[in-house]
Amino acid sequence: MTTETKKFEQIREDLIRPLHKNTFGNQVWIRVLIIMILLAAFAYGHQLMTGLGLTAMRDYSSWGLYIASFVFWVAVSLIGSLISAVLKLLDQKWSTPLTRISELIALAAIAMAGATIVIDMGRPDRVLNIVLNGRLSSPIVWDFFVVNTYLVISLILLYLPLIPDIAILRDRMTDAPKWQRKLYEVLALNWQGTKEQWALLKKSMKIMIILILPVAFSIHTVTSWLFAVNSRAGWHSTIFGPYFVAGAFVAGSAAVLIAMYVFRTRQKLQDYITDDHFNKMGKLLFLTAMVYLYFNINEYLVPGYAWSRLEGAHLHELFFGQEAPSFWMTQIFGLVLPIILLLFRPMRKPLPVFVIAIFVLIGAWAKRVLIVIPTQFHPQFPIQNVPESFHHYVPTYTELTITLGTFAIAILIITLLVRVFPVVPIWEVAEEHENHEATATKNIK
Amino acid sequence: MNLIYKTGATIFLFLCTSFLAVSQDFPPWDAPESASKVQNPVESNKESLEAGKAFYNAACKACHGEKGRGDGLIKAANLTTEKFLLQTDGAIFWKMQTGRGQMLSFKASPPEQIWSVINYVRNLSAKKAIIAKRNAIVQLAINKQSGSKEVTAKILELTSDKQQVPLENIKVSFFAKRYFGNMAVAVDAPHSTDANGETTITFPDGIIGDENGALTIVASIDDMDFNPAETSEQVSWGLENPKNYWTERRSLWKNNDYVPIWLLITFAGGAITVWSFIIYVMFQIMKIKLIGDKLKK
Ligand code: HEC
Repeated sequence: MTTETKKFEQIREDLIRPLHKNTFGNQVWIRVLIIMILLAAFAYGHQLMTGLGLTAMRDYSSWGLYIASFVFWVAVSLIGSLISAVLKLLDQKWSTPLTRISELIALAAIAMAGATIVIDMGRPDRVLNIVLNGRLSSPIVWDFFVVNTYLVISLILLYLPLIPDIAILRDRMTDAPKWQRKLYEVLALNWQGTKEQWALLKKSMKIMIILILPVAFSIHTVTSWLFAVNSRAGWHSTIFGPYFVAGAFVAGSAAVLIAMYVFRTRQKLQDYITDDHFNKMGKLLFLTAMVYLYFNINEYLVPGYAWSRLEGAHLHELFFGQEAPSFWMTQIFGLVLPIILLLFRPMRKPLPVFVIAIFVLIGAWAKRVLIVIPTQFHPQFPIQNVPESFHHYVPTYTELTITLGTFAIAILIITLLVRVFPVVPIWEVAEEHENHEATATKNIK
Repeated sequence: MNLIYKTGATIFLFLCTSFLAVSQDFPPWDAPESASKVQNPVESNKESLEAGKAFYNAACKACHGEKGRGDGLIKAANLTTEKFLLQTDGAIFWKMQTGRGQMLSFKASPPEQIWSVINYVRNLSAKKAIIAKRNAIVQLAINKQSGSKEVTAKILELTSDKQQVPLENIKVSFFAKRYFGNMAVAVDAPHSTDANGETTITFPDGIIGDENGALTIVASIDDMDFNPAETSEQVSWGLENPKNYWTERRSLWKNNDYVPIWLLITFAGGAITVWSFIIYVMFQIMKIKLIGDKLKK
């Protein structure tokens, strides 16, 4: 009993310790992000006043970088459901220390997905029209609904397991600035760790874990339908839903691996985010990437075999034409090579797997661009009598700056949240370390 | 068919060219000397002007506008300016055959047609002495005998002494009234009145009417010497319009009043289920707080 008690106290101190120090590096990092965000805000203001003409989107490519990034963000956000829900329901106890990281990523990503859609609108002041006048038959209305629902669920799923941890912080972080203590005070909801409170918390968590699954699947399936319901080469595919969901898990696993590595080194959490976690996450990335590769083969081989008029033109562009370099680089460096490398154990050590994950994540983003844009240049009617610039899409600086800005916001959200909340859930890990609920409860009191 | 074809062509032209509605003027365009010297072999008489008008309305109006001011769906050359009118018919002929930019080449059209349209275009801006047009009326006689669907239009001139005199050789157009505008019927050949001022067509089968199959037939004249005149008559020769099939039926492409039931149930069902759980969990969180508050006291 006493050793267990000690164990819990040690865990608690280890995980709280990083919150005490605001390192110089961290401050610089936050400022860099803020500068990027300010630049993006400036560009956005310009776009808002001048109109979407500032972007490279024209009649044919009416979806550009923003929509591609939107799909990317939705994809990344699904990881919250994979790690916190799927793995938990499958009783994969090892993933417990990673749940908070995945939920943080999910929250930041889904928030940016919503923001990116608004950025893509020429008249964002009319966004409410989708609620007031939206057509229920339109996948855009469904998407609006599920994205917002998922945002709320992600927020709750991040918050619920945080409550006991916040109570710990409220009691232990007495040296924190006043606002921070006040924040803990409010968010801890007077958590006292009574049996009743635990029962309510556990029940709520269970509900949310199950609830997030169908919503997560619908959000990315509906996002894929935004494309698939159009009779367009490269989009009109029956497997687009699972194809997107599979790709989402690849992107999300890569994002979690990157975050794991960063937090582990910065917060010295080697005891909690262990080499074995990287090994296992590496395997998970391998598994999801294999599934995604399988879908890729279906998605390209089947129309490639038939090579019908528009599909053929579209695929020619991807395989041999203008898009070929980016297409093959994305497929090879973002999917095939990572799969091969991850087969080898040494490659699943923290640093190598971190580097692989970066490639996979960049590949995931590039893949979204390749899904969204080239199709639009193969419409059913030939492109005629339009200015030369309508024939291709190269994003403008405005688009690039704003898109980078959304990345900065997402990272800033995560950075700020881990400044005040522990990256690794304290009580859940303590529970994992074979502490009984009762022990934990007693100590929190 | 003709109407559908023309509408389609107009929409297509519009889509292809409307991007280019730039506000600049067109650069100068001069026909070669030799082309300018060519004489117009078609005399500018009523027949030629009518042919020219028909061709103009079908092939030029979309761009050059009703009155030739270049204000159609795209910005096109103004065909009523002095500068335009100063050139010879031969020069205009050459330009129409050659084409430039958005202006198509009409090389494939018969030369007489082009000369006629040139006559008509010149007429658009001619400062005509205001000649009082004559008045005519159109009368429709429907052969109600079952089986035949004959429609006879009779054109009568209203003379100044209130007489009604049959008019010979006047072109009559027949239409079926649609939701938006009129659809030309019996367009296979021109219909000109005979010595009795009459012309007869056989109304085509297969045209959709209202819920009861009622159709409105319109006959009109558009002659240079007469004020426009038309008349209409209802017949029951149409197919019954399964109106409610299109307007009352629920379907995916309809507005929110006609959302398919299955979609409504799926969407509302999913939304209500998910959100009741979310709200339930929010209540649990509130309960956690209430318990904590009590303990604190
Ligand atoms: C697709 C739209 C379009 C259609 C249809 C079209 N035009 Fe034009 N037309 C133009 C444009 C645009 C110009 C100006 C071209 C330039 O100067 O570069 C022009 C120029 C002309 C000119 C030369 C004007 C000048 O400055 O001398 C003539 C004559 C002309 N059109 C007659 C016709 C006639 C007659 C028809 C029908 C038989 C016709 N056009 C149909 C668009 C059109």
